[in-house]
Amino acid sequence: MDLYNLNKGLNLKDLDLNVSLVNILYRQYKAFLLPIVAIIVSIILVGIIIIPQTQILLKNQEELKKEQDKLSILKNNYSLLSSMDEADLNANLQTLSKVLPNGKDFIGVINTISYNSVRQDVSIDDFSFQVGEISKDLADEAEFPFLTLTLNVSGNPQSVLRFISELYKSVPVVQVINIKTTSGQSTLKLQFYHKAFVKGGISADSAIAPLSKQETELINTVSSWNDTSQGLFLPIGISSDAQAASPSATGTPSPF
Amino acid sequence: MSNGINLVSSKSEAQAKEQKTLKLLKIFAVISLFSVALLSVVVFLINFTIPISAVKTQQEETLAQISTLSKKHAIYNLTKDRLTNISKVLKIRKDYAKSLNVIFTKIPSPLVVTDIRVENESLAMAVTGSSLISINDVIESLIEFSNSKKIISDLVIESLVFNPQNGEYVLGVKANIL
Repeated sequence: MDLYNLNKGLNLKDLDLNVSLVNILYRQYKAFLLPIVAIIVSIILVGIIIIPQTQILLKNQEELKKEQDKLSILKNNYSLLSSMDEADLNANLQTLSKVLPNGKDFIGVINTISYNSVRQDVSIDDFSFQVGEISKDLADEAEFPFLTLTLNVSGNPQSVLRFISELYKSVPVVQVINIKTTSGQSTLKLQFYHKAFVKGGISADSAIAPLSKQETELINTVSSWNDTSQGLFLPIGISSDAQAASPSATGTPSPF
Repeated sequence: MSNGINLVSSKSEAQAKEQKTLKLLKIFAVISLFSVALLSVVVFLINFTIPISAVKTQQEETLAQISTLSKKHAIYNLTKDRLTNISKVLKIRKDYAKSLNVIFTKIPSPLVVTDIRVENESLAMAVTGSSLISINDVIESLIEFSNSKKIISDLVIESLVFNPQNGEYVLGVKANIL
């Protein structure tokens, strides 16, 4: 027998011995095999069924909570909308739209200036609007677009200040940015704010809340301001171009 | 003889231990299989009974109810939009007249405000009068306002000029309106 055959003989012998050992072990622990396999299968089932199912359950519960919240908001919205008085809502919106018009409100501006100048004993010498680009889409403008008006006023400084104070309590909302007063002549630079209404659809699932105390107070405050939109105060003509540039002026009949 | 008795005893003890282990293993296997089966069924049933579709149906019904009030909803949204924007505008606008009125209350009657310039929150003012004492009072009041950072700040007295032709003093001041 050469060395190769000797090795081969030994290996076969070892293998034979191993198989015998496995056989012995199998016979000895045969009874343990089934429970161990059952436990391993259980563990595998936990991994492939229980864990994914539990994850789906948690996800579904989360979704249910979200949907229930949404339903609650919708129900609350419906309840609040039902309880609101449409006439009140309309009146509030009209008042607020005069305070901050949807577009350049030339008529409102001229009315408020003439109304307050008469009341505060100042005379308007001349004025000029800096209208800006009228073809520009209102929604694309700055956060608070405004119509600039330069106004020359005759009157003593106290009257001019009273005039400014009254302008601050008049519609549309205005800010005086420059004041120059010299020997009875004043030049005021005013900014009349406007803001386009929000475009786009109304989402029914955004929560509706009743008007807060601050909001109600704001409505009351601006309602008490001088509403000059109905009046016919100053015999000043404005050009048809300027009228055309006033998108919000459509609702109010022109006093000129 | 004694050795033989001991060997038999040790073998049966080992067998008993093995049997006990096997029994425990079997119990554990049955419990784990049963638990997995039970858990699977329970989780499946819970998943199956979660009423998402019922909630969605209710949502659709409520949306349909809301759509009957769409006009009110739109007016409400526009009102809210105006309120938010008006509130913001009122916060950013400066009321110079209010500040100037407070300053005017500190100017006694013999004096006259002849010149006011307000630009970019900066105030320049000229006060004219024949009484130097009154002008001094005005200066003191303005200094008080400036020091307390009330109404104005950074007060600068630019000039105090006497005009011998009409015997009047002209006080020129500059400040920032707060």
